[in-house]
Amino acid sequence: MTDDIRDRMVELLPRLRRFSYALTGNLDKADDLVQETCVRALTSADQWQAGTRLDSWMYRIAQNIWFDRMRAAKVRGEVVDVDAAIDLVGEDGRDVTESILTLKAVARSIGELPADQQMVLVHVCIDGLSYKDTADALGIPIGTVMSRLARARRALHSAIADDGSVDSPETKPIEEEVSNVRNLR
Amino acid sequence: MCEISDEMLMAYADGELAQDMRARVEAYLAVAPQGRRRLAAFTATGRGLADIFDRPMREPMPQHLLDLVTGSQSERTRATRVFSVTPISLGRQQRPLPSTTRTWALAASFATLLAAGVGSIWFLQLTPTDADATYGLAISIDGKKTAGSALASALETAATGSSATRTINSQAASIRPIFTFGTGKSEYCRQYEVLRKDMPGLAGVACRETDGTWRIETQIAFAPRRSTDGGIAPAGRETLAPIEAVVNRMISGDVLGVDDEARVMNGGWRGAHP
Repeated sequence: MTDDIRDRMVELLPRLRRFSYALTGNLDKADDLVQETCVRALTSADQWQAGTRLDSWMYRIAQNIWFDRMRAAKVRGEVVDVDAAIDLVGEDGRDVTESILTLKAVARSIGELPADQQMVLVHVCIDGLSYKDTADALGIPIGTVMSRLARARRALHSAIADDGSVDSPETKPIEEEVSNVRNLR
Repeated sequence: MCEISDEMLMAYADGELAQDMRARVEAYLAVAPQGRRRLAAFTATGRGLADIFDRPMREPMPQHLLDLVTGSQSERTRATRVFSVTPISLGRQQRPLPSTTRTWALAASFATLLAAGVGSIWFLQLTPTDADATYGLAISIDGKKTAGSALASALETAATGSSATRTINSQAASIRPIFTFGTGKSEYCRQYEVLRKDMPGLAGVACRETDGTWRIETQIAFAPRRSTDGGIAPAGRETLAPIEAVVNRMISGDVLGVDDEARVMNGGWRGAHP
């Protein structure tokens, strides 16, 4: 274990925590997830290849743990409920209530996305990477980034547009590869 | 008018399209209400998502997570929120600082806080490495560490509370004397900090020798988190604990007030304690 990877993990911690928060919708659960992710990452640090992105690697570890937990909860018949911490609602009035509800709705939707879509969504919409950088980080073509991202965001939009005031776009089959990606800068 | 795919609308919403493609999308949107509806799904779910989940970026990292990652139970690494940065005088309450000095220490802390904005910022005290112990500042003479010319000139002439910019190893470094004190051996010493962009900061104590050199008594490296505006923040109190210990061991009397410090500085750092 080199100090180098530990230092880089420290640097990454806030973003890993934000990623976990987006999956769980709850800071306590996010911290549990971060903790287990770090334990696994540290015990398998030799599997991380220097030169590749540490954030993508640790995100994937967190995803695996998260999906394991979701599956286990379903097997036990528990309802996976990201609203457990809803007691914050009302603390600061309506705006806070609404933003928490939005956060919960978005987190629930993100948490249930397929892993590949989830990963692309977080890289672009939460970490703010370009499509190109996301493609490089994940080692996939930029067209794949776009098709996964579009799917993820249509699902997300449907989830948060539940009051009917926003039209849910009709779903239609999407080509896995986008033919005219060369038009992208 | 050919149909524009969801992917293209999304890329348009994200500002990822080159100009010619952007023009095509806009021409399509101008005449296609269903296109505008499809676009809405992507404008509503763009990079603004980061704002929804930004609490971890604003709030302090839980200590247990830091300890876990650094492999420390606060031995190797300490982390302190910038929000709890306290005046450096706090550990030395038995010898209160002159009010001018204390006011500066507070003002400096808060100025940094303001500059730092609301980013999630904390400090790590790292085990000093040889590289940083000698980083352009200290050269070894007969086993002693002596300040290099950049640090020495700052310590020689910069008043407490000011910040002297020097170039060290081709990089700009901000050197800040924190305070000045006399020792039982009739010499004057200064606590200082060196802040550098993208590099560990340094904190130390140096004493003026009669030959005009500044002897480094102690120096540690710490890792300041860059603040959200790209600035850098000084060391927190925890970080400075080892420095405080050295000061407490050496100090005779009180730290110098601003006027006394100026008098000593103008007198070439000689003479009895004011």
